[in-house]
Amino acid sequence: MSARMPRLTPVRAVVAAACALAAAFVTLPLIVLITHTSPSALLDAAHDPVVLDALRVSLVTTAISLGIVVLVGTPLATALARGRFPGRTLLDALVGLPLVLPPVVAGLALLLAFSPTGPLGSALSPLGVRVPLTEAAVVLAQCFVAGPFYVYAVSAGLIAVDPAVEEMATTLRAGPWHVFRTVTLPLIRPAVAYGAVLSGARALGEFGATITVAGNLQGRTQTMPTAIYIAFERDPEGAVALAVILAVVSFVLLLGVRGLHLARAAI
Amino acid sequence: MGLVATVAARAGELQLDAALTAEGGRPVALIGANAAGKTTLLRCLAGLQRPDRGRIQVDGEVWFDSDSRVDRPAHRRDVGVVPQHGVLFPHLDVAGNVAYGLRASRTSRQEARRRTAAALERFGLAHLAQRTPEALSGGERQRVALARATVLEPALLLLDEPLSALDAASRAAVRTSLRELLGERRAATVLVTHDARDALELAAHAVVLEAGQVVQEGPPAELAQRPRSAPVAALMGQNWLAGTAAARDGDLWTVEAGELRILAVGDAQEPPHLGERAYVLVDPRDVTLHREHPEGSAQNVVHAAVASVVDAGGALRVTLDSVPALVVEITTRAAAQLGVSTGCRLYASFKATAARAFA
Repeated sequence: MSARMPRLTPVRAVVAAACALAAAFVTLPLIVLITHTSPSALLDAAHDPVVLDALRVSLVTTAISLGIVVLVGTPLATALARGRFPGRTLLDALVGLPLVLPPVVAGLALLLAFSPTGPLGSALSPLGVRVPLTEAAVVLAQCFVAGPFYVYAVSAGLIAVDPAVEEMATTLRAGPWHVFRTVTLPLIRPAVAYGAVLSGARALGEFGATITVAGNLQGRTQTMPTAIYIAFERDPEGAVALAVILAVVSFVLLLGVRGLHLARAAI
Repeated sequence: MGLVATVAARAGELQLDAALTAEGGRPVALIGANAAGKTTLLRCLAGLQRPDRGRIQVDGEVWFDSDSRVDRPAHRRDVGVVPQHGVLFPHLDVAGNVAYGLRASRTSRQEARRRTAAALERFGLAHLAQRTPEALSGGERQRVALARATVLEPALLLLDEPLSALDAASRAAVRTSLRELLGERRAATVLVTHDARDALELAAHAVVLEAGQVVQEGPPAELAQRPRSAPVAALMGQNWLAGTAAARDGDLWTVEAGELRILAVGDAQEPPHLGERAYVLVDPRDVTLHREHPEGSAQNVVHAAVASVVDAGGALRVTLDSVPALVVEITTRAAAQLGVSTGCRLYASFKATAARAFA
């Protein structure tokens, strides 16, 4: 079947131009980035203990953050989508606040709150818990900036579920938890996957809040983005290699999630 | 045994206040116009809506009682619901839909498989077991909904207009499945409908709901023959002509209703009183239509234009623009022979013995 070329109207011309511009805007810098580095530089970077540490810290903290975001974010999204309680609109706005807050500001606020003299930090310090400049601070910063992406995606998915379908399940002997597990969750799975990808990518790339509240300690709080930033000041070529590695890791993770999702759908 | 319920509940503007009983094996039709409170009552019985006051008891078990603060959640009620539009689980195939309730109630895997297969077979769905709901026709979907609700053999089966969303062909097929099912069922069943034929064909008892209140109940045939009000007559598909008893000749009464002078037989139990308000009941199937003024024994002849023609499953309901409007039910074939169409002027005739006058 050969698709006939549609006639070029002014509207179609504008749409086509926008598509071309967006595609070029996203791909060109990435191509430049990748071609700017040499295989040997990449190989060197991949053996550099600083890079390996940063990669490990990034992946571990992102995994933990994502776990926390899913555990806390799913019930929160349910409340936002389904809840009928006073202050729901306010809560909805609060959840979105980190999206509009500059990450550095978020990091500063977290730092002040969790510093040993801050309200949360002083409550935690008798328990021997110190947050700033630790791995916990990295996770905290990532959850703060990445959480809203997940919550909003899942909440939108929940709103799209027909309540009559869930009601039907309750008339078929399914208690609330069983309904959620066997009806709601399967129906919002695409929204959950989408939210998790967005949120995970945001956590993996988080820089401003992390460096403010967690600092830049190699092997503990230095993530890939902070490592790239530090490297860029000393050795721009090395920074490019790091950047390529992070871009590749992100891309592989995205493909992995998509593959997982497709495999699920096939079952 | 069966269902014994009194329910008071709000539904938007409507205040529902109704008592309903349904014996096992004797399906009850809940008839009413749109927004009469039928669905609200059903939702209260299923546990999907909480009544303000009342008591719901099924086979001796109390499901709801506002006095003793009993309110079983829907999933603890031995109920089956078939909604108007099926409402299948879109992420499960037909077998998965039918098996859902068995899985949720932790029936053993083997038994669930056996009962699911039997239900699929029973509703003629075995060949569709692996299909997803989106690949089914409306009638197939509704049969899946029936299989899903009845595979649990619930103590109370609630059917909310299960046929109204279907086209004529699939409606006939689902109606057949439904009739067989209700014929075998020994437990309580409530069937919501606004179609008198469903009630006449499928139910042993009918309850008419009007603005949240029960206005009349009884065997469906009795409701059709002796409606107590215009809405009941209309729901049962009968002509209900209100007028004045103008004259009497023995058993034969003349009732002036709008433009019509109707000759009718006085009701044995509630005959009209001369000069007072009287009602004439005429079954639309006892009225015939003609191109020319009919010769013969029919005492009542109405000359009027056709206002509307509605398909009533095998027959056509023709409404004439006389005052008051007269509804005639004729076969599709007769309609074709007469050339019935909106706007054409016809003669309608019925015998005095087909019309009953009462006070």
